[in-house]
Amino acid sequence: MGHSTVEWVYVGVVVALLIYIGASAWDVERFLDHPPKDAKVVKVTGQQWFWTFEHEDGKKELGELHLVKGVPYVFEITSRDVNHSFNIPDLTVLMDAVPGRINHMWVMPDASGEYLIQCREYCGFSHYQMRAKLFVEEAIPVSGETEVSNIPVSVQEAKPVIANN
Amino acid sequence: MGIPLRQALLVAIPLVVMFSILQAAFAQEAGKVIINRVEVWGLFYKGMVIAFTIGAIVMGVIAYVVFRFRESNPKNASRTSMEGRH
Repeated sequence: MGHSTVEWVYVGVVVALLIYIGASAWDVERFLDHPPKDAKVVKVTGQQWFWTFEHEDGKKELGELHLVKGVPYVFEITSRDVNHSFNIPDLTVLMDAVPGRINHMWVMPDASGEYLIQCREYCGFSHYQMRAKLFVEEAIPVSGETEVSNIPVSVQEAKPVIANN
Repeated sequence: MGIPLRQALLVAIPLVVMFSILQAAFAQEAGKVIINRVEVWGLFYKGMVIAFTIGAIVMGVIAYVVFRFRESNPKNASRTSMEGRH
């Protein structure tokens, strides 16, 4: 094995790995840039020093945001005064809120619970207090249906087991 | 002996590269429901693995070159007719 072979392997493997990770990143980026068609819109407005949210049905929230688990949402993010940045660390959401511009970011919460919303761009004296709470709630079952997760564990365990063979 | 290593690598590397590009290009159309958290962190870990792999390759090559071409290596003695004569 001569020197040129080693050099070709060196160059080839490095270039191949870089192209592979570049292609993967491009692929993920493409999905993150295009929300599903049935996504619900939530208008997010940042201003010194709080967040306001407006749902599709006109319902407004201040300092709190209530979403439903398993539903995709598109955030239309803007600001009224200075630059802010809308950040939900647990859901990997981070997008600048810029006055006069609407930025988009979509997310589908996959676990219910309470999450932190914060400003991630220094925006003035009370930047550190510019926080809100995200509540992800379980979907309300349509009448007639009962979600298995809502059935008490004792009842689930009491279900008859059907043998496969 | 089978196919020489160089030829095998020169065929295999472009195939890996082409496969990655084609896979992304012909992937399902955008608009798919994904869990961002999973995709983003997955990409991050993949990137870290690749970064450390490339780092190991580069460091390995540097170590090899330093060792192979060290002054004390007998192969490097009197490399030119003028060396070692004064």
